[in-house]
Order: sequence, then structure tokens, then C-alpha cells
Amino acid sequence: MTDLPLSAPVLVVDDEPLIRQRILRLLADLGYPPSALVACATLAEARFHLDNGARFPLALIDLGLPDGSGLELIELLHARDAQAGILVISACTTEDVILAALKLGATGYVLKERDDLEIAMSLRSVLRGGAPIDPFVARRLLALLPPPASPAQAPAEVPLSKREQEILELVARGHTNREIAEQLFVSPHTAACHIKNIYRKLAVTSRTRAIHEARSLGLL
Amino acid sequence: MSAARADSVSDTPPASGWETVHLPDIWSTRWPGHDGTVWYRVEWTHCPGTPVAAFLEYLSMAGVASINGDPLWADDSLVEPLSRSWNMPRYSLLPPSALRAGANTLWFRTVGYDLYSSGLGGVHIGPPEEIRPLYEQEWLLRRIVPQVNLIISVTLGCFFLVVWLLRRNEQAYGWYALTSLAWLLFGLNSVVTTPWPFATTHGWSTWITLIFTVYCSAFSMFAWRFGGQRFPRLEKALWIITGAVCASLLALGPVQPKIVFYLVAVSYAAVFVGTCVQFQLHALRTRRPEHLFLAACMLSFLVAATHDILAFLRIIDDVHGYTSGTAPLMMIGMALVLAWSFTTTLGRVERFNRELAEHVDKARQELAHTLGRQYELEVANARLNERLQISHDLHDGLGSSLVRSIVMAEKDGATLPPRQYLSVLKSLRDDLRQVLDQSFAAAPSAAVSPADWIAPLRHRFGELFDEQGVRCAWRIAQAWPSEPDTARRLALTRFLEEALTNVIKHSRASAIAVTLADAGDGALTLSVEDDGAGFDIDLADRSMTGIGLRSMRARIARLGGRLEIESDAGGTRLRAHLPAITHFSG
Repeated sequence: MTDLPLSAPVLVVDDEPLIRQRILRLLADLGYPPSALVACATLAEARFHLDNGARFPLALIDLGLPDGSGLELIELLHARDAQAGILVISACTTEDVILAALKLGATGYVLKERDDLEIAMSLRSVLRGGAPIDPFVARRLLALLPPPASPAQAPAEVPLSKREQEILELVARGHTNREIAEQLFVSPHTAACHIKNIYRKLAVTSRTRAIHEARSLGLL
Repeated sequence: MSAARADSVSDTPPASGWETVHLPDIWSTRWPGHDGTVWYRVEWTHCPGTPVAAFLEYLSMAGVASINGDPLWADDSLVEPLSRSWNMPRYSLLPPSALRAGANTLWFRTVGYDLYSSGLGGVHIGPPEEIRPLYEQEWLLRRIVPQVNLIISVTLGCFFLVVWLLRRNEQAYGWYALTSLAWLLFGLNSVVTTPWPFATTHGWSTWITLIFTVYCSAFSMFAWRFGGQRFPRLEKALWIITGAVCASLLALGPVQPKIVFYLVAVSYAAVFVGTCVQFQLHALRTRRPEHLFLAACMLSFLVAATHDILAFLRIIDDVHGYTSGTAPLMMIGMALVLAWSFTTTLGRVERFNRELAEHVDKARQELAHTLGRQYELEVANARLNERLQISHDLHDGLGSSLVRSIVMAEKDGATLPPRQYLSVLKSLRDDLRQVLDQSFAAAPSAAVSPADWIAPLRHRFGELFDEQGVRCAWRIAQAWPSEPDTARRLALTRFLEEALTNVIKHSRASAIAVTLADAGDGALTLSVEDDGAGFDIDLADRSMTGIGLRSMRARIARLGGRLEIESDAGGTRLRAHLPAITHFSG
């Protein structure tokens, strides 16, 4: 795991001290020095760092913050750096909230309650340039984004390519990146790139709608 | 002023038989039954040096005029088909060369029939500046007005014919069109100067009589339809009689007995007058504005028609027809009435459409409101059901685990090591996650296929196995042997989670296989096999880490299934066997 590219600095936003310490510990386990980690407990604190011109190629964001929703932060981070890896670390979440985060530019999400093993794996996946994706997210994306060359697609939506459609269908059935790569005869890295592209399409095509949806859900 | 009968072929006036007459003259009163030529002689004394003009009101049927033997004017044809000059005023500036000082004579040779009131109209002789205006007035009445009459008839007739063709149920328009067109043909009698296309004056006359009967009948029909009246028997009788009259007129041939001619004319005039009178009464009864207006039009026409009939019967002495003058006004009046009723109908239709649109709008709003409330009710119901389901899942899943954990802690709480507490808490956390995932999944959990059900787990653990370099084989049945309920699905999920976590944490396996298979009779088996180090089952059952294994076994047993565990140096095989669901309460 020493070959992992450690993007720095890393922004960690979580209002619960114990969880924050846990995430920092996991990052340290990956090889991050304490100086590369910026931990915040509130939205205002994170904003303060951003207002001072800080750039974060990797950010781990909790959504439910005492002074607002982490979605706002995701939007800011994505606007500043479209290539930034933004991982949502949330407690109990509904599909709508996760989709809203993805639409605003998040590259993945992981449940707070998972074992250290799983969270560490998600972190490694994001650092390698991948985009962790759950089967249910894939299913929702299949419904949201128009399939390739569909005759009745909405003009504003960017359609999925044929390959992206295939990948989403496999993800929806629970296949891992490696399995997908084997079935489609591509490298696992390529499969991850496709998923990132799909996220980007989602963020591009439904950015305003996502904000509107997030507002209507009371998330922003 | 005198007249004399003559041989029709003679070009010169007869020498004898002259009788004094007064103009206008109709010779049948004096010489009944005389058909042919009659000469008229008008004498006056002329002072040389002053211009003289002569103006003849009309001459029936055809004729020739001369002054002192010099020809003045002549009609085209003095033998059949006779020219028709009965409505043609003539004006001549008499040539001074033909005038003599003292006595002068104007000669009129007329050819006509006793039947058609042949004779000579008024003759006026005098200075041109006095005579000319008289002539022009007569020309207006006898030529211009009838032509205007025809133009109006043809225009209105065609217009209402088209209206009726497009709206067949508006019968009044159809009858009005027929009335107008019949009136057009009848009015031609006052305008044409030859009996063409008929060979004789009699042929033309029969045709006009025939048209007159049709006109009167059509007029009656129009008046009845417009007034909203129906007399089926009377109407049928009218048309049968009209048909019979027309047929017998044609059968009798060109020369009608005088009595037939008069009888038909008077009878149909009576039909016409009768209809007008009846309509006055009808309008007074209904009091509807359009009926009253038409009644007023008819009244004016009635006066004119009565006058003309009386003149025709020579009960009053007037050579001018009133109907030809009043007919255009009458036609326009009737057209106004029809157009008015047409626009009122349109207005009613528009108003109806507006009201209809309003009603539709209102109904739509009410429907939307009802549907909205129904939808709200359904949403509320769905929420309630969801809540019930969640509390049920919490009770069955998390609740029982909690209770078991509490019992265990109470039994030997002092001796339990912290790691076991951690294991219990993690197990409770996983149970809670299962319940939440079930509750917040977008798809209704009952409808998912085995592949869909296993997809999240497969993904989670698949990525972990990939990282550790463990080969994974998933063999999942296409369909459930029997549709599992929530409790079963939860138990299977937790079993799989526990088994796979154990493989990752303890087995050091290099390959695993997960199989969901149909065991027949609605039963299913879910097995997890690995090629890892294996463990001592008896030891594990008793040890602290074996708590997961024990709770799995208990959970599956509660659902009527069994858990088989085999473990040796070659690996571990966990097989959960669940029988078909038997529905019983409790």
C-alpha cells in the first residue's frame, strides 16, 4: 500500500469528536502525516479554510453538521476543483440524500457505521482515482440518465455511452470493479474511470436540478 | 282617340269599324274573344315650329307605331313568337318633316290576345321637356325596378340555398331559397322581351302560371317553417294539388281556357294571402320578435299583393304593379329576419360553448381536487403501512437480538469479556442497518429478485475480497423457490454478512463460493464455502468469538430452518436450509 498516491491536504469535516478521531486514525494508517490533515467540526470552520484559498484534493464530509448541510460544502469543493475526490461519510442516509450529494459533485459515499476495514478500503479506492459506487446508486443512475441513443431523451440530459450503460447494469447486480473489468475486457482502472465519468455527467446535467431537489428536501 | 279591329295580315289601317276609346284601353272589354290585330288612332292639332315628343306607356303584346303614315318604331316580331312589349315604355321625338300644320295622326297597330288583357297604354304628346320626365319615371318603374328585383332574388336565393345545403335541418332557409328562385323566374315575366325558349306567348304564359303556383306553395312552406308550425296533412295536400295543377296545365296545352287561367291565378293568390294572414295571427300569438318583424314585412307585401290582384282582376283601375316595387324591400326584410335568427342561433351556440367550457373547467377542478385528496389519503396510508412495517421489523429483528443480548448479559454478565460486548454491539448495529436498509430502499422489498437482493452484499464484500485477493464465485438462483417474507430475508442477509465477515477475518481463504439454490418444495439453501484454515466447531460454539455463529444458528432455527456447519483443514462450509413458508399465526 505504499504505492498509494497520497493527495494532500485532506479535509475532514465531522462534528462528532470520536468519529473525527477515528477517521484521522484511518488516514494516518494509510500513511498521512498529521500536518497534511485538516479536521473541522462545523461548516463555518471548513468554509474559513476554503475562504483562505486552501485547496483540498481529498475531502471526507459528514452531511449532518450543526450549522448546516455538508451538501453546501460539496458544492463549494466541486466548484473549486472538479477533479477533487469528495467522499461522503454519513450516518443513517436515505437514497435521495446520497443522490443529491453525487449530483453536486461527490465521488462516493461510505456509511460511518461500517468497520474500519471497509472505510479504509473506500478511502484507498478514492485515492487510486476510483469512485465507490453502490448497486442501488447504479440502479438510480440507470433510471436518471438517458440510455445511449434513446430516441426520446430529454435534450438537456447527456446520454450515457453504451459502455457506461453496461457498467451501470453490472454494478446494479453487485459486480465488483474487477469482475466488471474481466467481463468487459478492460482494466479495473478503466472501469473506475467510466464510473467517474458517469458521476460527472450526473453532476453536469442535473446540477441546477440537484440544487433545487436538495432545497426541496430541506438539505440545503 | 279611336280603335278598330283589323285583319292581322293587313299593313294598312281598316277603313271602317272605328270606335272611340279611352286610354289605357283593354280591348277584351269591348270585343270579347278577339285575338289578333287592333289599330289605334290618336289625333291632335299641331302648331308648326315647336318640337313634339310622343310617349307610350306600354303596348300589349307587340306593335308598330307610325306618324301620318311614316314609320316611327316597330317591335321585332308581330307574329308568334310575339315580341313582349307589355311592360316596355316607348319615347319618340317626332320628326318635324313628318308633322303637318293642323291635324296629325299617330297610328298604333297592336297584336295581342283577349286572354292577356291586350290593348294600349296611355299616350302622351307634348313638348319634349314635359314628356321626357314622364317617360323616365315610367322606365324606372317598368324596367329598372323589376331588374333590381331579379338581382336581389338571385343573390338571396343562392345564399340561402347554400346555407340550407350546409345545414339541412334548417328547413326555413331551404324553403326561402326555393321561394326566392321561384320569384326570380316569375319576375322574368316583367323583364323579357320575347317568349323564348317557348314558341308562343301561350307557352310562356303557361310556364309563368306554373311558376306562380310553385312560388305561392314554397312561400307558404317558408312561412310555416319559420314560424315553427307544422301542418303535415295540409302541406301534403298543397303539394299534391300544386303538382296536379302543373300537370293539368301542361296537359291542357298552350291555349288555356280563360277561366282556368283566372281560377289558378286567383286560387294561389288566395293561398298566398291566406298564409300571410295566418302568419299575422301566429306572430301575435308567439310574440317572438323575429315573427313579429316578418309579420310586418308580410303585411306590407299583403297590401301590395292585394292591390295587384285587384288590378289583375280589373276591379281597380291601375296599370302599375305594386309587388314589383315592394318585392325587393320585402325580400330584404325577409333576408334580414333570417340573418337575424341565424345570428341569434350562433350567439346561442357561442354562449352555450362558453357555458360548456366553464362547466368543463369546474368539473376538471373538482376532479383534480378529489384526485388530490385521494392521492393524499393514499400517501398517508402508505406512510402508515411503512411505519407499521418498520416497527414490525424493529421488533422482530433488533428487538429480539436486544432481548437475547440482555438475557445473556444478565446470566453471566460478570464473566463476559469486553470483546464479547463489542461483538454483541456490532451485531445489534448490523441488525439495525438491515432494518433501515429495508425501510428506506426505493424498490418495495417484496418484489426484488434473489440477484437484486444479494447485490448490495455482493458488492460490499466483493470489493473487500478483491482487495485481499480472494476469488469469489456467486451462484444465485434466478428466482426465489418461494417468496420470502421480511424476517426471512433479514435472517438470510445477516447469515451471509456474518459468514462472509468470518471468512475475511479468520479464514485466510483464497477462494470462496456463495450459492443460493432451490432445494425443492419451495425450500432454499444458502451456502458459503471457503478453502481457508477452518476451525473447531465445538470450540467456536463455546468461545467468545462464536457468538455470531450461535446467534445465526438460533435465528435460522426460529424460522424453522437449520444451519449446517462443516469445517476442516480443507475449508469451511456453512449451509443454511430454509423450508417453504407455511403461513400460520404466531
